[in-house]
Amino acid sequence: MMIKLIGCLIIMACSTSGGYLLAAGYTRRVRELRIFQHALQALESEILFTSTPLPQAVSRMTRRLERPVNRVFDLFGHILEQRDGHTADEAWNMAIDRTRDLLCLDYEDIDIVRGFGKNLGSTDKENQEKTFRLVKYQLEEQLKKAEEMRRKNEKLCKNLGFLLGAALVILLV
Amino acid sequence: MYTYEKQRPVMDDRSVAQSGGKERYRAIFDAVPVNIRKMIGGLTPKEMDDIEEFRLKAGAPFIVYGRNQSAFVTRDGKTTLDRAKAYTVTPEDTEKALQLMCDCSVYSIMDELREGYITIRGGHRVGVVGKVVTEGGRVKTIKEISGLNIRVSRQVIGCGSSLMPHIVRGREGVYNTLIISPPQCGKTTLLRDIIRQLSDGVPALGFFGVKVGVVDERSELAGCYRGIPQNRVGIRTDVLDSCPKAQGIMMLIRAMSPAVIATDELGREEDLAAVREALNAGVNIVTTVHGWNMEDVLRKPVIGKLLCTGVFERAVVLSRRRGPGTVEQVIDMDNKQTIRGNWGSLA
Repeated sequence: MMIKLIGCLIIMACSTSGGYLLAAGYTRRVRELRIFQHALQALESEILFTSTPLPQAVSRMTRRLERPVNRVFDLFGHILEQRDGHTADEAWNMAIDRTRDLLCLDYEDIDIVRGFGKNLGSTDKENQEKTFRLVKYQLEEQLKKAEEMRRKNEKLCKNLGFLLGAALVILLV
Repeated sequence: MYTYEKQRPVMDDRSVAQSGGKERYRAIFDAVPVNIRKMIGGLTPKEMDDIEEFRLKAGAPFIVYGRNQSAFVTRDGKTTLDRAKAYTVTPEDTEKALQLMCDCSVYSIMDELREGYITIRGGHRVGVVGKVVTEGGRVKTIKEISGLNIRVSRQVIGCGSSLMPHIVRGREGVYNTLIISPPQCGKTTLLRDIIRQLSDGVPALGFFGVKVGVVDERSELAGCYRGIPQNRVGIRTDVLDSCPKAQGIMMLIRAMSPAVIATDELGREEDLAAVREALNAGVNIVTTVHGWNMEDVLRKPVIGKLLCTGVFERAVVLSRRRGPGTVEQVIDMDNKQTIRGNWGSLA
């Protein structure tokens, strides 16, 4: 009897925490998109108001960033400082490729973030501003979608995890 | 007559040549895409030391210039005179090179780009051509970069040594000096070393070193990259980078109390007034002018007028007769006598 009870508890704990983990993914995506937005804002002001060269600008703003997004910018700045002959676009894509496993973003988000590198640093201020504006707008849209997803699915995942566990326990008992 | 080509022992040339010249030309390597780095890497140290310009033009072969010659560069970094073997530069190469030159921050060099050239680390200057965008009759920017000309900046530390005894006066005095030289004869290189020695002092002459102000209108003397001189211009030297000469001279007099002001290529009407102002303030002038000889310079409107007023105490005439930096004459302007050289005295 005791063993049965412990088994049931383990099953319940596993499935519930599984549900919570799934739910946490939605929250993390929203959070990461927000950090990206802040990061772009910070980088934009470094570029537009102080004309700081990209490597310095990136290393300066990376210090103020939260995890895990700071890893992307950290690597990006690092690649730029190496002067290995990569343009900002290439460096940015490399940084994302190597850090995307740390992020909770979906394909669409990654595509947008990637697109940000395209004109980064290769044009005058006016066009830099346009690039930033576009990407910030796109991120805003993604953020709305992500919030919506979270609202819909977060509760669902949590409940589903618990209920699935309960169902399993009932079946087995 | 003597050239400073032969006496360049002070510079770290030799040690650098042994390390393949890579460190010395690091900034140039960093400025070009990887495929072109490989080509430049294939050149011999001797070739590297002779090269004055690397020319990248989209759709044209990769060309290097030096010592009045030019050569194509092949894909594997050999120089050749055969057009067919040369590497043809692509538009991507030039576009990418521009980005690499400015640390992927084109927005940060717009002011320089408007002038048609940028200064990279190491003080090398890169001329840029492409499609010019104008606004209200003024150049706004250059885009679609089609051609880049990397002009290798070489400091020849110690090239002015033999001239210093004629330029300094006692422990702290400096003669107002004019360097007369045709283009490509090393007047900027010479002036830069004179600035360094005036600023650091010349122990051999018992000259202590004075505050020097440099107005570096075209970023050639100090080769400032992000405000920091890349060339050795001395410990007591203040540099106003890319500042118009006349204004710069006034600013330095007011702000930095220099003992000597050095500029390259005096020649505009407003420069005249600024130089007079400096002399009135007790500041000495060391400067250069384009010209073949003293007679030639005396005919020039602005500098001729200045010479006639007896402002300059020393004149140095350069030529290319025995390589860049051949000193033809050193003239004592006070009694119109040639101190050195065999070119006859001033009429």
